[in-house]
Amino acid sequence: MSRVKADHQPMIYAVGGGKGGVGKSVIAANLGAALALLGRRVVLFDADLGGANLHTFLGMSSPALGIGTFLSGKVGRLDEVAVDTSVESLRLISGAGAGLETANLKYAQKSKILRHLRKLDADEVILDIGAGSSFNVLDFFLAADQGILVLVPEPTSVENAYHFLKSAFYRTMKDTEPKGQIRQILSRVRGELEARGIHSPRELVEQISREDLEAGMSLERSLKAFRPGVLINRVREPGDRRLGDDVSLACRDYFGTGVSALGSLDYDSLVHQSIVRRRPILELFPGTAFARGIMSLGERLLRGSG
Amino acid sequence: MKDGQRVRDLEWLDLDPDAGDAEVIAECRRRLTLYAGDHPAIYSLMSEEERHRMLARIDGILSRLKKPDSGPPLSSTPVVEDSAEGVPAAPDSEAGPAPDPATSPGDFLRYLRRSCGMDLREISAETKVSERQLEAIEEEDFSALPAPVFVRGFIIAVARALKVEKPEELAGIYLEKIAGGGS
Ligand SMILES: Nc1ncnc2c1ncn2[C@@H]1O[C@H](COP(=O)(O)OP(=O)(O)O)[C@@H](O)[C@H]1O
Ligand SMILES: [Mg+2]
Repeated sequence: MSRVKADHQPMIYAVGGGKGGVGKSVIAANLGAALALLGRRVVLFDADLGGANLHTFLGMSSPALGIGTFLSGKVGRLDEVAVDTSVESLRLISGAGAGLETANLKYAQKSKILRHLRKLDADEVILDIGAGSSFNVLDFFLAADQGILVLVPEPTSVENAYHFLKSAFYRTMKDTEPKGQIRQILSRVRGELEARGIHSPRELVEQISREDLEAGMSLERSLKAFRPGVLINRVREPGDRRLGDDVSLACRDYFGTGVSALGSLDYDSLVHQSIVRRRPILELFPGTAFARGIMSLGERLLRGSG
Repeated sequence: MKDGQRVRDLEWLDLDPDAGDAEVIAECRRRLTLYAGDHPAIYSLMSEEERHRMLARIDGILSRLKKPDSGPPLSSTPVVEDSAEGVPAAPDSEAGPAPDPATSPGDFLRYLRRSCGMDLREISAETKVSERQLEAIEEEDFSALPAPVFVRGFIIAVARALKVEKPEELAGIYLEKIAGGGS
């Protein structure tokens, strides 16, 4: 990924993963704290409407200002609803009290948010997009400069992550210009291949290129731009650290484009303690495995080698 | 022709255009492990059909590699088809009939090795499969062998070193025999 942004626009990260309970929020909150400690001006954006809880990880009761305030039109800029946290240089845009679920955001509301995220006065913006693979969740993920797909070493999590990735890939393909033409050939060739038991986007693009070189090339181009990273959380067995590399390899073969491995975070019982005490783990136990893992993830992301 | 295919193979493996055979083999090995069976990292990613297509694709890439020391690519090795589904009969440079690979793949490999005048150490040096495991492969001593995932890679490597026309087919026969429980 490139960290060179026009007009000092913030770099946007989206933390997702399809499955609930894998650690998206605790990672988003602590990654926000890590980037702030590394000297960046950070805004956390709780896009998990309906399940918003980033404020709790930071020891705040539900803030009066948030996404709901912005959507109601009472303020004109997202910056006005970004509230300070206990961590210097880390602000939060809360999703609590927005009065709706992410999946139910209207198209115009979602577009407005996405447009305004780029205008935030910050260096880094981190979205917690919550669970599921609804169109809105996918669109937050796809709008980010760097997607971070969190999974834990359990088949249910791997399954949901792949479901999420497949949905995100097809959504990317369908949005490729020229849309009308692409959608037509896409659905025809997809139907033909699936009748033969073939679902892989890579073979789909290859087949489309054989039939319509131009369509194949624009699909390839838009898929190349989608390069999410996978982060393995709650690692207990050393062997599970490799899961990210293996998933990345399988994705490369299956989707035909890079899904980078962002490393792993160990299972750490102090994570639970830090949540109960409602403080970032970086503040309470900076030396513990999870805290060190998050710091090094933050450093890697800032170097742009994610 | 062949070069175009080579370029496509390297691209498929995400390797540089000037990558050597050793890198190709290493990349293929990683994938043979990943797609061999129940690997947790591919859970629910692909259908069985697709998984087999991946394996076939990797086998295809491996079969297009040149043999280590002689010129012609494997696919041009003269083949005498016998009844056993495309696995070639051994060159009959040694007395006695070649064992049937369909029923005795281990014996078949030993026969081939001897008829090439190679000992276990040479095969081991070339394939990086230990002599002990090579012996177990020839003996069909399944209990001394690692998981089928690895055996598959071993058989393909050994068969290739012995210039078998379709190494992956022989590996398939071997794995079926293991799956049959050696009963
Ligand atoms: N690395 C970890 N080690 C130990 N527990 C963890 C770790 N990551 C997450 N957890 C636990 O998982 C639970 C769910 O985390 P959360 O961030 O709320 O998930 P999500 O936002 O994905 O639904 C937390 O209560 C936390 O205790
Ligand atoms: Mg959450």
